[in-house]
Amino acid sequence: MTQQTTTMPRTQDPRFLTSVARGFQVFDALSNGSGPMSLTELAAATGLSVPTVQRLTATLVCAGYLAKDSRSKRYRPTIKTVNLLYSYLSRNQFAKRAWPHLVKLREDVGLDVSLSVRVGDAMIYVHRLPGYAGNFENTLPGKKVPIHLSASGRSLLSLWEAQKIQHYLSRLDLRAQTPWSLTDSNAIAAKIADCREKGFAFVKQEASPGLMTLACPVVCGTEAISGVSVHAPVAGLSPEDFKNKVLPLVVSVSQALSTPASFRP
Amino acid sequence: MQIQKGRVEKRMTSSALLKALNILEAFQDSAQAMTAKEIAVRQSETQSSVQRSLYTLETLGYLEREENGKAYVPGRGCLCPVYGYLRNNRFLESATPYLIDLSERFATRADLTVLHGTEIVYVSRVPSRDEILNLAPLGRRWPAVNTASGRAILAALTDEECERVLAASTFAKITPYSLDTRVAVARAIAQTRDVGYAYQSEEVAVGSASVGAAVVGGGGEVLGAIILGGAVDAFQEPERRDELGKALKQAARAIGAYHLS
Repeated sequence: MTQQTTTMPRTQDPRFLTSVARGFQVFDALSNGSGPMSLTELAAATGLSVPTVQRLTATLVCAGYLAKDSRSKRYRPTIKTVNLLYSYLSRNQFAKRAWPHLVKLREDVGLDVSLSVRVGDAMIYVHRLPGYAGNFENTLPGKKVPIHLSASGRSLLSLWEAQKIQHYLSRLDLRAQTPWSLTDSNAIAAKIADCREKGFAFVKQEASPGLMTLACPVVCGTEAISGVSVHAPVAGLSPEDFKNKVLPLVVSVSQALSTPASFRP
Repeated sequence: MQIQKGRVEKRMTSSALLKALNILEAFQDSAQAMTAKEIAVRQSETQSSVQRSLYTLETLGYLEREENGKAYVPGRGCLCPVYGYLRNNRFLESATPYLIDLSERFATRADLTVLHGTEIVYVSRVPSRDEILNLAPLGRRWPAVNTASGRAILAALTDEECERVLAASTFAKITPYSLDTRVAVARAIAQTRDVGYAYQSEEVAVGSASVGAAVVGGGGEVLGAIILGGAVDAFQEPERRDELGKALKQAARAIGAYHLS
């Protein structure tokens, strides 16, 4: 699977503290990696020098967010990172409001359901409720999926104007994540246009092998702020049956969460 | 696995990064949004120094501004670092199918917690239909001594380790039903050792009860606990409680068997 590169926001503002941004790049690298990482591996993944990474990991170990294995010299995130997740989930009104709807949706469809929001050029799971014992990594919150390969991402982009979508896709890194990922900006734009027409996005194996996802946008005024998704294994269920089964339920949840007035999650 | 902790020379660390992390941590002790001024007072720093951290954290998405307000709340960026922790957590990975199965079989919420200091932390949750409010989002902490999962973990630890957690714990009433003395908690732990699962009713939230069992790895290390929780009614009957407790014990043994270190 291709690794997602971590990008630094381009800012010339003198208030911007580069070392803070780099510290969080270390977390991103560990989220994209497949296990604990050494200084050299972290340097390669972040594009930073080894001494710089050493200083950052020392700081994160000191603050309790990373642990270093004394034998392998590799770093891994600690349970303290769960505190950060909690400080978001416990205060975010939208995440709280969405929860009971997602719980009910999961019961109704008997499949994985999720809520995701946009972070830069990716969608990130705010809630992920496991409906079946599938691929473990797909049952976790905090997972990022490139926006153009994500069903909720495409549903979110479908509310943009066609020109804005074209322009946005042209500056994205359209690398494949699976053998099924679309990598051509026109093909992706066509999928997004299709989503605009139908009101939902359907993605099969483009972000995760063996998985298909149907998503509807949660709209605030004229802007999509989030996506509600249902995920199912491609084996055992035809895309047609899957759509027939879950679409009305996903639509009703996305509508229940949508608001006319300006209200940001 | 041996873990090397803290104790790093100051010149080796980035003070800007530490400051930013401290600001994010300040939100963990406060339920409210905070203005730059409030954060500065809390961190005993000048407002202009805090401004730089806030600007950076906001640019990176770790802080967000409340609707047309000046006050800050933790942003969606805060969802990112946890993924690296969760996806490499073999305990959580091996337990997930069992949590889903338990929750299905008993039509009850099934959760997983681990002990951190004197608190238990929710690391996974499989909700049940009746869950109208998310009372314990991921990352929620409770004092171990007050919870079923905490007492299940304490009962599985060696006397010495258990003693250490009890000595560091504070005993207080979260609800009118919370056990708030060390003697009462020690008795509950002894009971847990007898039956192999822990039970609490309305000690954490009025109207809610839970049973919990500890998961122990092959090397005797206590990995955490699995819990079935829900409305008090569902746990009133001792036979039903025992049925849930036994199912938890069985699942805990099966999960523990994956961890032959």
